[in-house]
Amino acid sequence: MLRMTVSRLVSAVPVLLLISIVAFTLLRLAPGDPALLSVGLEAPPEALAKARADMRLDDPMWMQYFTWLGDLVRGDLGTSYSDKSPVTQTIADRLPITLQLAVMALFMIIAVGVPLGVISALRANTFVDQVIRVGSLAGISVPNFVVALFLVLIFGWWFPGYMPYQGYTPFGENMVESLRSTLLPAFALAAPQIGLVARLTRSSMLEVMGQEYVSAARAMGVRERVIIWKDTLRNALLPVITVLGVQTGFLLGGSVVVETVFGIPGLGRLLVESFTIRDYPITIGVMMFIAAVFVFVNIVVDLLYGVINPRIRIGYASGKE
Amino acid sequence: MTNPSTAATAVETDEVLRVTDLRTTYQFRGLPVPAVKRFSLSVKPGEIVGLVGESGSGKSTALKSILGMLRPPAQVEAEEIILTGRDLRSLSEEEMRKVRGGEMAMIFQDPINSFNPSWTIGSQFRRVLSLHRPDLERKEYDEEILRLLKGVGIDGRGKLNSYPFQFSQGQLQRIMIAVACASKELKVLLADEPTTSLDVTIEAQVLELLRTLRVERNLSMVLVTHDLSVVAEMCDKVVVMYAGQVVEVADVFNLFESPQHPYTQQLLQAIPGFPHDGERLYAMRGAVPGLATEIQGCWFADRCDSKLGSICDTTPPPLYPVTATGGLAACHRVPDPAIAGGEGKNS
Ligand SMILES: Nc1ncnc2c1ncn2[C@@H]1O[C@H](COP(=O)(O)OP(=O)(O)OP(=O)(O)O)[C@@H](O)[C@H]1O
Ligand SMILES: [Mg+2]
Repeated sequence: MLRMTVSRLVSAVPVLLLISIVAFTLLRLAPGDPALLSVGLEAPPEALAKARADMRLDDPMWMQYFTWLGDLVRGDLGTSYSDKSPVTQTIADRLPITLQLAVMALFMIIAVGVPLGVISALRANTFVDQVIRVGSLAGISVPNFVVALFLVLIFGWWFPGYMPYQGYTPFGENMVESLRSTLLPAFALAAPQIGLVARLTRSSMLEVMGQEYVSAARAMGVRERVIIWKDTLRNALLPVITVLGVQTGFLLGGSVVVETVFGIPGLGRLLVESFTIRDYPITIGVMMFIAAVFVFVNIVVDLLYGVINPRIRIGYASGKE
Repeated sequence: MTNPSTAATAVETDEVLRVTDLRTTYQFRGLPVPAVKRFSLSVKPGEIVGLVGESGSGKSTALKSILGMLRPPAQVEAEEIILTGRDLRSLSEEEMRKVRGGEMAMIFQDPINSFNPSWTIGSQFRRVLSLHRPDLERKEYDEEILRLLKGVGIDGRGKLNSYPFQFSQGQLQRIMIAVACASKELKVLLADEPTTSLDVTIEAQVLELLRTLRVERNLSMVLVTHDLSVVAEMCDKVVVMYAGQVVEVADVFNLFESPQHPYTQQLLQAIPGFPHDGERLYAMRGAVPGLATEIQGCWFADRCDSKLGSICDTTPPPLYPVTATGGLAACHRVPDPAIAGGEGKNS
């Protein structure tokens, strides 16, 4: 298990390096001059030159990259061009908000998607199943910003006053209000994934229910309830867990749009704001942070999968792959 | 037993299992699939009844129906399913659940898939004991498991915490048999192609084990197989199925010596001799008609080498008693023994 953990962590390093190179290059290639944006169009040329020098924009790109990478290795993501505060601090400030959103969305995905899939499978090919399947497909097909806009329309225009649809109440300030303020955005974030998870759970359940060991358990007089919850669900959830892991990454990415629509000052908003003013250190810092979380979550899922699946766990323990 | 007609025919009260006129219909894409259309079976204590027939003829479906394992939308109807004097159709789902693995159990074709891959063998075994062995305390389970495993030739010490994939197919089938026989009440074991996925030597060992169990515990078995040599070796009686129907019932000796139904005759003809005499192998022409087809007469008429004439196309043959052998055969030739003995045997 330890060997597996270490080997997965090590293999993540080249992945993240590659991502950083691509992200860094693309960012510098994007039109727009951060120095100009920060000093303003009317500023004298000397001021502009000084700003460029401060931002080290005159160095060749590879040098800028390695300077940045060197700092990164020491845990320093640089300082923001705009307010000169450390990037790590800015991320740390915004992270809890996005995290609250993502955890809430993940909770909705699991709490709604999995049961819907199970019901759908147990009632396969009945009316209930049809409804759930059509609903899931609709959920998957509608992009989350459409859901977001719709929610704003419903709660901001048609039925105002029931749910907060703009802005964020900090968790420390008022817990209940805070959770309420992220409820709609979390749902917008979760909606497509709920559909996906419901479908996946359904097909996975049906596959497992067709397995001979389910028949065998039934032939030995095991209670139907036990067959469903113990024999079937556990094995059926294996592929679902893998997908949930990947989705956690997407939740962070997806929050860019949703946070913008709902005016939530999380990481996603930070990314958009910083890119608008070409605040490179922040933009790349947030991008790398999201990428790292993405990769890390997938490693955790892989390891979890191993814990659940004896074949993998024991294979590793006895040195077999 | 509550049925008056049963009381009248009480001559054969030594049956452990009697199934009369079983019909099972699956649903596929909203259409009914009549997988079993006419199935009857009678098993005496300690008897091994073979169940043969082409793939898709409904053998597994019949066994699962008897054991009450099918769930809607599948529909099971029967005139009677009597296990040791009780009609299983009158039992509640909870009582039926206790019968499964209690008085009647089933083992399957693919041992590795008969076990839940994410549970240890021990935990799967213990669960069955907790269901069917009220005589045992929880702490006695492991001891009993080891004893049962020993009975099927497996030394289970130190292996109870192993997972199914850590055993071989042959070992798993033995373990499955031990699990199925854990109940003291067990009367009938339904074995659905228990040796199909095993190699020949292991197959012989597992069959030997089943025979031993029959003798030691007076178990009755219904043994599904595609292998007629297994039938010859193991069974007392044989039921032949074709397209969801029983077409012939006979003692194992009579089945090979004087098969009555043309399907059985053609099936036996299709076995290659050993050593092979160099002649072309006989292959039955045509294929089993689709289950949803409407057929007026005999289902085998289209492939029959000894068809009588229009009667075969218009009238479904009932299961006629065969006076000479004491068996049953669903063929219009049977009522006229002159014809029945004739062409079929000169093969
Ligand atoms: N769940 C199901 N839904 C619909 N049709 C089914 C279902 N299970 C089986 N069938 C159909 O019922 C028929 C009988 O199947 P069954 O498995 O009983 O045959 P079998 O005689 O056991 O065949 P084999 O020798 O291949 O095991 C087949 O045509 C099969 O396609
Ligand atoms: Mg079968």
